[in-house]
Amino acid sequence: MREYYDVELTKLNNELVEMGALIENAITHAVNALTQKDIEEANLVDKIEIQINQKEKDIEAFCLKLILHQQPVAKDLRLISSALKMITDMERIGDQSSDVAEICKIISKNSYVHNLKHITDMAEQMKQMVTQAVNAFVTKDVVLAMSVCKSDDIVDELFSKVQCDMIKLITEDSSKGAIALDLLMVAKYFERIGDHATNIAEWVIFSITGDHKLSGK
Amino acid sequence: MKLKTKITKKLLFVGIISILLTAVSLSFIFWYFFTEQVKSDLETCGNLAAEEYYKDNYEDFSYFKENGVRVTLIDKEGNVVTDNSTRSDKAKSENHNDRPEIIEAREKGSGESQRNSATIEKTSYYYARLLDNGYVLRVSQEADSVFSLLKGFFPLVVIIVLYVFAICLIFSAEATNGIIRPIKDMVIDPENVTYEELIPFSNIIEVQREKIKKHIENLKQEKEKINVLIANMSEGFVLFDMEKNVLMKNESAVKLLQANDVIKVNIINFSRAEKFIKAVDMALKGESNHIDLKIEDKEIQVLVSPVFHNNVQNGAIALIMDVTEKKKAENMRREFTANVSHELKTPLTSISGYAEMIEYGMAKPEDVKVFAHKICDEAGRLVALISDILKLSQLDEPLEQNQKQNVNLLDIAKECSENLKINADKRNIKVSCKGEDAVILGDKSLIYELVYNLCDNAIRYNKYGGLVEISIKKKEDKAILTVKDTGIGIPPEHQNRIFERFYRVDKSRSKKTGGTGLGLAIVKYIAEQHNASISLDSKLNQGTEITVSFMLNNNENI
Repeated sequence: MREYYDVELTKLNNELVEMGALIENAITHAVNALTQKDIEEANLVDKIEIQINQKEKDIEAFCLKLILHQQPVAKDLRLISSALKMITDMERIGDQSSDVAEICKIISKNSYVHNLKHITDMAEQMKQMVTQAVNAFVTKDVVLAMSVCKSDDIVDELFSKVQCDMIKLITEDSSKGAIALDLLMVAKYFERIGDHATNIAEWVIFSITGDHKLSGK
Repeated sequence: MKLKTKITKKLLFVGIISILLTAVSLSFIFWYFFTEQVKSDLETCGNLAAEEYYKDNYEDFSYFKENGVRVTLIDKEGNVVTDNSTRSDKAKSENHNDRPEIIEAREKGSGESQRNSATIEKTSYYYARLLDNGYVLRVSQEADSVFSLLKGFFPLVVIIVLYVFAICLIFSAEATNGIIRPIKDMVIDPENVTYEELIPFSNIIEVQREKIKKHIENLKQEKEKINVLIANMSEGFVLFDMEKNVLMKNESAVKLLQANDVIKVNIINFSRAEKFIKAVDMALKGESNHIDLKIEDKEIQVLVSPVFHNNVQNGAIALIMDVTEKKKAENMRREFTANVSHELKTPLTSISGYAEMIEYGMAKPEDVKVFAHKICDEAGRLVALISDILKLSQLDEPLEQNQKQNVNLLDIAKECSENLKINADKRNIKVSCKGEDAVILGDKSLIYELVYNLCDNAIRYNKYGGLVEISIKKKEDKAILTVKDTGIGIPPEHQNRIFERFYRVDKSRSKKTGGTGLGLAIVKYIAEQHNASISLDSKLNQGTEITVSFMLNNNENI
């Protein structure tokens, strides 16, 4: 019976990592859609988003089944309850990637020639955060998870830089107002993804240590 | 069943059986002696009764009756004369002459017999004696039979059995342990055998043990070998089982794939690269395949093949290679081919264009000469280009040792400056050559080519009326050639690329200044073949200094 339970827990672990891989893909394609103005990439994100939603439901059902049948305690209970929380954050990341892709579809028709550096930096940074959060979960690495929590500040800082860029863009050329707003939305979504990555990292820390305070927030 | 239990059981069984047998045998022995005692007592009683009778003092033998002895006097006809027992008269009136003890007494003077009583537990013993008057005096006594003896014994025997059983339980456990212990000890130390019967076993065990030890040692060594081999491979190596779990991996795989350093877990925990996982999936379905990945700035090629054991697939193997350099070389080759074709095509297009114009009479007679001059120029460029390409392709072959000879750098530098004087004068550039004699080992024509190309560049990309300084210095075991100009310089972002084939800083100027774009590439190749190092120091609009340091040949001075 317990052996079967262990197998189930490993399966849950793998499912979570798989979902992590899916959100990483979604983000990568969304960022590609933005930087390369590629509608194909944006469409890919929609497909992945459907998979992510399905995965969330599957994992949720699986977790409830585990709780009901196995009455987990201690570490196992923490893993399962954090899993339930993490999938919500992951699903939100999926949604936001798809929102970014949606905006990209609209603005790809226009040319946004101006400097995208801060937005791409943000994309790079939050992509790394998500990857590291998932890696921290895989390797059960508290230190790595804590570093993810810390790098959220970098994303926030970049966001305010993007804000300044957009204000400058509008004051220089008021006809670029629409695109500036769209780009600001993209940046905001990226910032939100960063926050969700931080949440995931915090849940990773909780599932390992059982302590919420370690994340330094 | 455990040996221990079996031995304990047997011991207990043997104990109980022996107690029972002893009890039974002892009963019989006791009974036998008891009977004998009774008989001899009866004989004494009989004799005593006879004495009484002779003294006519017998009355009714009441004295005997008190002691439980029955005395019967029987006349010649077998009728009972006197009986002191309380038996019925009917029994007393029976004729006693057929009784065995009476018959025996009449024959031999005395006789005895025994008869079971009405109840099984008692036996009557009889002793008869023939008296002088022909009467027979018989005494009898009842005594316990062997069965009653046994019956009396039985509770005692049961108690003893229980008692012994309890003691046996304690001692048999100890005894069993005593028997078993040497066997157990044998497991630890096969050479120390207590029981002779077990020596063959211990020998076999010992031999097997040695064999197993050797086998394990071999296996360990093999494993160690494989581990070392895999760990030190520059290619990444990952082994998967059918459930996509990572069974084995090496450091390179982790590094190349930027994977997590985990083992014995599902592939998803190791790497989340979608293409990689798909490739492994395919391999697990039995199809070997290869994929190209781009991880950060590295080009990675992954070969995934199924693993078969006894014709049954039981996993997949992934080999991961860093093909960044290979791809780069491939790109360079492709670029070179494209460049060569382009560079060859440009002069040819001009040549054929001018030639066509002349052919169709489109050129005025006075223009023909100009066109011919241009055709000549372009043809010259083509020749220079082709000879440079040929040189480069020759330089791809490594220089043979016997091609090398002692070369004095200063002589060559002077020769070059002489030969380039005309070119330099055209642009009013002063070429100076100074320094000390430095002999190196090398191919003279190649070294000349190197110095010539450097000087040629220094003049070509100089300002009008500029300076070119060639100097040769000796420093420790090195001969240092420096070509310094006061030319246009090279912008920093181009500095690390100017030694590439056909690379030009300013592509629009190439036509004006001439040159093939291969000069510095040739310099680089020649320097490489002579184990010389090149360094570049250039400031935009101030000039360029290129330093080539060769190894001095001290063995043989000219």
